[in-house]
Formats: sequence, structure tokens, C-alpha cells
Amino acid sequence: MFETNFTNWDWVIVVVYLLGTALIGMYVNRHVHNAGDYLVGGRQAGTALSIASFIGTGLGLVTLMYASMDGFNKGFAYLFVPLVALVVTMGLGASGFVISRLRELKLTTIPEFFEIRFNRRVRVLAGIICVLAGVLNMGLFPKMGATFIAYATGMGEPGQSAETIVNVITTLLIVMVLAYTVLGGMVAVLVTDYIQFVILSLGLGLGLWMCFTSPELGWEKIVSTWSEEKGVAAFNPVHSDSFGWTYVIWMICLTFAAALCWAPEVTRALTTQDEQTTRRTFFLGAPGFFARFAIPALWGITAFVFVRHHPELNHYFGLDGTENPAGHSSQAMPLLIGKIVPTGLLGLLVAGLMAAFMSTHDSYLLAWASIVSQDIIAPLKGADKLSDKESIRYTRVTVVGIGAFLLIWGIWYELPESVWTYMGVTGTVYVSGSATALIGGMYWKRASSTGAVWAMCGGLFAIAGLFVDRLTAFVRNTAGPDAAKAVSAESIALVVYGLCILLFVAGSLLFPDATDQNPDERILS
Amino acid sequence: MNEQAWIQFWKAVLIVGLGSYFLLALAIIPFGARDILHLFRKLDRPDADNDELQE
Repeated sequence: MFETNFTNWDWVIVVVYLLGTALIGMYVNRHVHNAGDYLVGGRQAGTALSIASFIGTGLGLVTLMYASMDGFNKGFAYLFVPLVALVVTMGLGASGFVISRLRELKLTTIPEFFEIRFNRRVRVLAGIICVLAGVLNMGLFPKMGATFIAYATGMGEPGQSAETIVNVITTLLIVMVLAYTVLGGMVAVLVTDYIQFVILSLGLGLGLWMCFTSPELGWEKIVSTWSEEKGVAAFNPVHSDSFGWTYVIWMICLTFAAALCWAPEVTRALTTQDEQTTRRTFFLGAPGFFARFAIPALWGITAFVFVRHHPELNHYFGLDGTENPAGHSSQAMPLLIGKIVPTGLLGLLVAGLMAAFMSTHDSYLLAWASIVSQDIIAPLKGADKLSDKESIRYTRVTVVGIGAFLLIWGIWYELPESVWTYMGVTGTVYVSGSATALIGGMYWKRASSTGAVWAMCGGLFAIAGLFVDRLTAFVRNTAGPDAAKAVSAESIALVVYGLCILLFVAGSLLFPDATDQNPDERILS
Repeated sequence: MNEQAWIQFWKAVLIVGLGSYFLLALAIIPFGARDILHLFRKLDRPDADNDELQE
């Protein structure tokens, strides 16, 4: 039932590709001469390379997995997420809102802004919350990668020791990523992101082509199957049987805030040659942010149709009227890819998607590790700036530390029922408060450090979204079933965004900074 | 919007969004390679705006 077209030849393609990429990543270390080269590639990346890296970072295997899960469960309605990503990213590139000033300030990390604008205390707090949220957010990546490998390569037959094999492969992948991130830093990230962008674009196009040209699938059959199964809810995201308005508004807030201050992605705004390149990177890279969600969602949408027309798979995926078992929807897309893409091409596609796994890991590892060294260790040591050698040493040690955490947490931790909720909530913990303080600090003269600290602490309330089931039960018992209906991860997250803005404004007005603490003129000019 | 209108809407969004992406990819492949060579040259230039590793 779970066998695929993946053969030993495909394994050879995958191994050769991954080893080649890792060796190139390590080789480019010879071009790194100082901390600026290591952390931000010497700020020398041109537009095309920045766009490739921008898209390569966002297009992780975990993105493909959760987008395909939502496509599988919700249908075409999920396409509102890539549409929002396209509009927000393009809008930021066209306007230069926040991102232009970030580049002009020549920052290494986003929390650095908070010290320039407010004070060191705000920078350290932002760094701690950012790393806490980011590393937790990243904690599920290896598990999702392992799931993809298991089901695309045909090792996912229930009852076998597939998971152990996959965990070993995932461990090897993490070790390879650690090796070239530690040695090469941002230059390695930029170069390997470019290679992965090329392979991924081929792989994504290939997978999509197979979905639409396969004799048993195709656009008309996909649309009609969804229409028969779910009706208009399969296409209308605000329908009551689909995501609903609250979820859609939450996604708009999350996409906007994350584009401004989610470290691995906005770091691309800091690595470009100049402010114009930053804006071009966002504007021209916007279709990449559309594709990163839309293509895997289409794979998930197609996987639903594939499963629906294979009776032997219906029960396993809960399409025969039984409940969809937790985690099984994550297996549908890799299974589809493994079954419809022919041998040889499948190896290339899996190599590209494993590259996506590595591409996201290297960028995330470097982003979080940079924040630990630059925004937590350096300020706590009382140093204005670490020496280059110290910066690189602390960043490398942190990369290895995060890698160790990923091995323990990511591989052995059980996937929650909703991966996207986990991702959205952990992201909101940081971006809700930080985006508020970032925008306010940049465009509001009366913004104060107290307001920034309050806003960031307000973001921590989003953690409640991880315990939404218990909260719902509590509200049901205390206030009744009608009140419990209003409790959801998205409603909690929306309240948190509002709370952060409120706390920021209140803190700034009630506790203004001393008049001698004038912010750098470049920020408010 | 009714169901047919939604289907047409998503079809148009996909054609525009994915068409733009693959056109972008075609442009980035050669220009990205050129940028990598420029990046290496700039990083290795002795008068680059970067100091050697500080102790």
C-alpha cells in the first residue's frame, strides 16, 4: 500500500547531490575573512543571489509538509495563505516599510535595532524571546523531514522499523548542515541556498506537472472531486466549514509581522549590497513566497483526490467516514509524490526537497546562533561588540548546541495534532511583540523602552495557544459551551496582537524614556 | 461568491502567481551565478570594507 517508485538509483542521486552541496558549502569557507563575512556575507549579495537565498530560506521541507497537510485537509481554500504572502511581501518591497531602514542601519541582527532605538535591556529581552520562540518553532522540523523521507521513499509501511532508519538519515542530514554552517557561515548559506533554489524550482515544477498530467488526476478531476466532497467550503476560506474570518485575519497579521522580524527571513534584508537591493529582493522575491505555499498545497489538494480514488487508502486517511488519525495527513503528499513521479526523476525531486530541508536548517541555525552571540552573550558580557573571533566562536558553539537540541527534541518528540498551529503560535510568541516594538520604534517618536518591554512580554501570552484544548475545556466548564466556541488558537493569537499594541502604547505614554536618551537620528528621520 | 466564481478566481491566481515564480526562476539562475562570482571577488579583495579577523 505504501510502496513507491523510489529505487536504489534514486538513493545514489540523493547521496551524490547532498554530499556535493555540503562539500561546496565547506569549500566557500576560504572566502570568509571576518565576522561580517561570516554572519552577513560581508553585505555583498546582489539582487539575484539575495532573491534565491530569500526564497531558499523560506522554502523548507517543513513548509512543504504543513502546506500540503492544510491543502489535503482544507482544499483550495488554503490558497489564501500564499496569496496573503504574495501581497504582503510585494507591498513591503514596493514601499520599503521598515526593511529599508533596517538595511540603512547596517545591523547584524534585528534585536540590535532595539538597543540603538531603546536600550540594551530591550535588546537582550528581544534576543531571548526570539531564540526561545525560534528554536521551539524549529524543533519539529526534523520530524517533518523524517516523515517526508519515509513516505516518499517507500519506507513508511506501518509496522516496520522505518522511523528508526529515517531518524538515522535525519541525524546525518543535521550533522552535514551543522558542518557547513559552522565552517562557512553566511557565505556558505548564500551559495548553497542558490544551488538549492535551482534544484527546487526544477523539482517543484516537475511535481506540479506530474499532478496535472497524470491520467488519473488533472485539473478538472481535482476540482470536481473537491466540489463533490466539500462543496463551496473547499474554495472559500472564510466559509464557516473552512478556516473562517478569525483565522484569515490572524494569517494576515502573522505574515506581516513575520516578514518584518522573523530573523531567518528578514536577515536577507541585512545581507544585501544596499537598501535598493533589499527592496528589490522583497518585491521580486514575492512570487517565491507565493510558490512556497501554493505548490505544496496543490500537492496536498491532489493527494486528497488520489487517496479518494484508491479505496485501499481511504480508511488509513480517514476518508471513509472515520476520523482522520492524527499525523496521517502529513503522509499523503510524500506518498503521492512517491507514487506518481517516475524513478530517477523521483531521486532528483527528493534530493531537491532534502535540499530544502538543509537550506532552511542552515539559515535558521545561523540566524538564531547570531542572535545568541550578538544580542545575548555580548550585551551580558558588558561588551559593546565581540571581537570577530569571539563572534564566530560563540556562533559556532551555539549552532552546535541548537543542533544537539534538534536531535533530541525534533527526532524523539511526538508530532502534535496540528503542526501549523504549533508553528503559528510559537512564531506569534516573538513576532507579535517584536513587530509592534519595531514599527513603533521606527515610526513613533514617543515610543519608549518600557513600551517595548511590555509589548514583548505581551507576546508570551501566545503560548496559551499551545494549550488550546485544555483552555477550551476550562472555559466550557466555567462559562458554558457557547463561550468555549470562541476559544481557538487563532482567537488567542489575535487577542495577543491587540494586547501587544495596547501594552506598547500604554507603556510608552506612562513611562517615557529620559529626554537625554535620544534615539539615533537615522531611525526616525 | 459562488463556487464557480471561486474556482475561476483560484485558477487565475495560480496562473499569475506560479507563472511569475517560474519566470523569476529562469532569470535568477544565470544572474544568481554571476552574483556568486562577484561576491567571492569582493570578499577576497584586499581593500574590501572588511578588516581581517580581530583578536
